[in-house]
Amino acid sequence: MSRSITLGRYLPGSSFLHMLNPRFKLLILLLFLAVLFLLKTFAGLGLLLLFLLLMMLAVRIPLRYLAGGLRPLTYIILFTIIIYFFFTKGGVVLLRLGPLTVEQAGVTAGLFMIMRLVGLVLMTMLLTLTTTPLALAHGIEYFMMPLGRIGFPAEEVAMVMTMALRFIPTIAEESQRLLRAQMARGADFEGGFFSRARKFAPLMVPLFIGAFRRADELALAMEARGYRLGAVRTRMHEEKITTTDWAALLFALAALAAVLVSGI
Amino acid sequence: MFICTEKLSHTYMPGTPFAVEALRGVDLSIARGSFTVLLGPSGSGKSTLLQHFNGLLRPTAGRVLLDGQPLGYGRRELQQLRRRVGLVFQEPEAQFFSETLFDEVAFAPRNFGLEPALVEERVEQALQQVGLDDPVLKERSPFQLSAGQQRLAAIASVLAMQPQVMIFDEPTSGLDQAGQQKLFALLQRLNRVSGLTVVVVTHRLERVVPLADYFLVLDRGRLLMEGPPEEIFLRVEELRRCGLALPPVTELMNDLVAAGLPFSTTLYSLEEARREINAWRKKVAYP
Repeated sequence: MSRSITLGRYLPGSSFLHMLNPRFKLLILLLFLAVLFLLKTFAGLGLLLLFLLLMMLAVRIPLRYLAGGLRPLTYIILFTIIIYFFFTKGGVVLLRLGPLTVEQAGVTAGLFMIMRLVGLVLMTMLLTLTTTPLALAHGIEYFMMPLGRIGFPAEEVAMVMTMALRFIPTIAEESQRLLRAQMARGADFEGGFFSRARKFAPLMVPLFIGAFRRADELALAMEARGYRLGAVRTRMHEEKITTTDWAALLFALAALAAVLVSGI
Repeated sequence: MFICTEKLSHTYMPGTPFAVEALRGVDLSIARGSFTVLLGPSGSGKSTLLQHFNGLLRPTAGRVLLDGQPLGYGRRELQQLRRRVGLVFQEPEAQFFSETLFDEVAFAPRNFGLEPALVEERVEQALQQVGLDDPVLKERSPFQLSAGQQRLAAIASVLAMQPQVMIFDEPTSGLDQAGQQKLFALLQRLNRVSGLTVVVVTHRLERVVPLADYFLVLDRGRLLMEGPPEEIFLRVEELRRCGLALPPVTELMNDLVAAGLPFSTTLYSLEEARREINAWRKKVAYP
């Protein structure tokens, strides 16, 4: 069940990408997203994909994770192929299927789009596989802080986000436990979607009761340890900014500049 | 032998960096009608092992046999298996979802498609076995019961399948002394009166040793020892090494014997020890 979730799952390691400050990683991701969408030629896009693949190897992400990350996109890719191949016209006619034709411009545009999609998946995977969800939340929190000045509850949202992330594995584990406990009492969760939906109550009711109880306990525990909104808080693990962070950011900026200047 | 495992191994999330070897080649056997206690420090694989007995987990390698037959993992075979082997999870009241105690206990028999009349009979019997057969309680929400009653109700909801084996994972956790006493009395009744094979994970040795006739000791996924209590508790050093202790009374008796007093070192319960000490006092006072 949980095996299929490769996007958004942290893979522990000690590479330089793992060590980068999450704020910088987010900025660098944004810059590379710009690069991805500014590239105009196959050569440029190919170069970027090659670079991303090399990065995956460099930080020791097994390549089967890539396959896992692309699998959910199968239908989107198929859909892209159909739309672009059949509906973008121009250039030499490559294939004729009755009234439908596949023309060169369509194939080029379709392939280009697919390469972009793959690039997008590679980039997000490089981010999420090397960053713990908590570090990611801290990074996002940092960029939300300025919004606090215009009345946006940045700190609260950040806390909610952090807590939600913190409890996803707990709730997932709890639901597995409940699933098995009810199966031990003869509940049969196999079968089609509808027969499964009907058997939802024995799973969802205890799961919600548990979640509410846990939320109560958490609120009490936080209050008992002096949590209040608006207080100045320190972190147990301060995320330091190192020269590597600046170097990586500079590299991303250079890449963006190179793409803009050369126009590849 | 009733339940056997042969070279049973289980690895969680195999082939990922998160892989954990929970069981490594466990060979064990549990006799029909026995009261077996499974001991082991936390993380030794006890809960994993229990879930293999009713097919909730599938062996990564090796196999599990029930009554001489290797377990099958098809949908129908699993349903049959779970009817025969009841498993009570840790803090089983967390699985409650029904509006009344009756419905909660009826969940399992209904899952096996029994007739309404038969379901009712099963529920009555199960509630009677755990001592909750009260018409008022039956219509109450299971969430309104006391902690001790909730635990009993959860056990009744498994008993309602009328299994041949009952497996308990730390059944007394979070219960007070009275609740614990009640629970062990229930385990004893299920084993001696109803003739069920009982397998239980517990750390309350002083209570469980007088009831048990067989012990299994797991350590880091391997079966360290198996045998009757007299054998197991002689291997004090090995037990200590993996973080387990003797029943407190046995420790005390060992100390007294070491101090030169004529006691037995195979005493496990407070009652036995009290009897022996009183007999000795009488002997000393009126030689």
